[in-house]
Amino acid sequence: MKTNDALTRRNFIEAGAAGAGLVAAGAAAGWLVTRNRGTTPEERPDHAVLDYDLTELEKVPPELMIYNEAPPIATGLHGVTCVASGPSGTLLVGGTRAIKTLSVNGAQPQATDLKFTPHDVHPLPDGRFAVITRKRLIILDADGTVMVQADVPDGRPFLTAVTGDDEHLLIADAGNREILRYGHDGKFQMRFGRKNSEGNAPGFVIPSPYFDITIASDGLVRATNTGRHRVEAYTTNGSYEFGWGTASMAIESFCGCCNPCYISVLTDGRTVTSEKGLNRIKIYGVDGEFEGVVAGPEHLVRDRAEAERACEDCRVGFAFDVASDAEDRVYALDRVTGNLRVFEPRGLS
Amino acid sequence: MTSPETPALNRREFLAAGARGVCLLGLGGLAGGLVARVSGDDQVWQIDPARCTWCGLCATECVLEQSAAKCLHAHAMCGYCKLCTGFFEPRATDLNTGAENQLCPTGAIKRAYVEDPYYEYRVDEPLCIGCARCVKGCNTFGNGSLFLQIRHDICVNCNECSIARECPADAIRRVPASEPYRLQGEEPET
Repeated sequence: MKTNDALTRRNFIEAGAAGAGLVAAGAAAGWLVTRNRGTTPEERPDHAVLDYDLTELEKVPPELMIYNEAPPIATGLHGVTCVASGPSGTLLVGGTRAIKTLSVNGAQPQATDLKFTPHDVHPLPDGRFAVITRKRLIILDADGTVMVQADVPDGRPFLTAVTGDDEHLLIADAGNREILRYGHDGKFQMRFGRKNSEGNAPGFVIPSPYFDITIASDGLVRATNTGRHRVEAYTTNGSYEFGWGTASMAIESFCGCCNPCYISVLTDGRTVTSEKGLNRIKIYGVDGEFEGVVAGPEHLVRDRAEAERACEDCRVGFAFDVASDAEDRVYALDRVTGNLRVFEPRGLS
Repeated sequence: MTSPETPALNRREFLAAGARGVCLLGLGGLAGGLVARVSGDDQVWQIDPARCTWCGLCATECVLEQSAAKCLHAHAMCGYCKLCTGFFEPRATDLNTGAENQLCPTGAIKRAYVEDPYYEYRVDEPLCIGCARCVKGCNTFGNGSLFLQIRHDICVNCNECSIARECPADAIRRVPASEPYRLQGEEPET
């Protein structure tokens, strides 16, 4: 009987090595195929389920609408930044290196050229303007000549709003989360708004550079504590008086990380609020009870992508600065068109 | 003319030596390729957060079973909000960590109380599927501290990235492997 050749040690090792190599190559190929085979449509998550949909929240029930939109006012400014109520029924609008005084009655607008772009503007009783930039208070005469410049004493300021009464100028500083008080001569007087257990002040929480203040007819400063989703009232000496507002996506509350962004106070003390994210302008009563909607997202923003492109702060959302007049009209500054959107109480128009 | 001291190379020995040579050459090529991949001249796929529109396709178009696109969190930018729109469903019934209130379909974002009214949010990346719901919520209402990036320890670096092919904003591009991430909050102050 013929037998096979004897398997030498060398042949055995060679054959074994070749076999191991083939196994390793097969394993590597299998690993690569498995990692790169791709998922089937059935294995992939349902895209519709993963959508973040705000469509329903952008609709406002018609019964909540208490204002009608009137034809807008063209500002004629580039890069509009702020709007404020001016003297004698006028409106002040700030834009790229300019302030414009507009009359709601159609009188000729007056433009004042500046060497800087204002973050906010406030008219002084003597015809001068108080204007803020990111770090500085500037007082101008009626021609735009700089009378006084005042830097914020310390900290990392980011000034967002200026208002005032017959004695004081008050400035919202989102960087330091405080309200700064100056005299009409531009001299710094005091700061307030830090958390204060003695005075019961909750402290400002300002996650984004939106921090608005205004003075109501009761003489109290209204400030937006955006991170707490509240509007708060302080005396001009910094004493906390009261606050209102709740956080949720519901129409009667304030949503997002930080709202309301802008406020204005109507003649009878009711508050107009303007929000970013879901762009909503709403009216609240003197005690903070929700009254109705001036304009909702579907009215204010016709093309969100275009609106975000037009907004230099679009990484933190965009909102409509608001002002109001003696007839409780609400003016919303539209950064996309550069126009003032006008909203009139139902019954007025 | 053949030297009488040199034994003649038979065909079998010639082929064996040739095969050994080819194997060594292949090994050398493989090593060279690996060195080249990590040398910094190579390119990898990455998402530009400034272009990303949070469409959700990163979760569904990656060739991997679980996408290599993950949500990252720039804590230095975060507002530590109580009502975080990257964490809560738009119609959350309450601001707590109940599953019904959470936006993330896999519960990959963890919420922890810091002090009134601040909360910290951390991303558990192995759970993240890159759907960008949280990123859209954060960008719609906040400052975009939540953002998507392709993780290179997971990405297989396809020649043609299947997410990039579908990305409607052209936000996924080749970047140098030496600078593989596009992080938020790192721009110098102007």
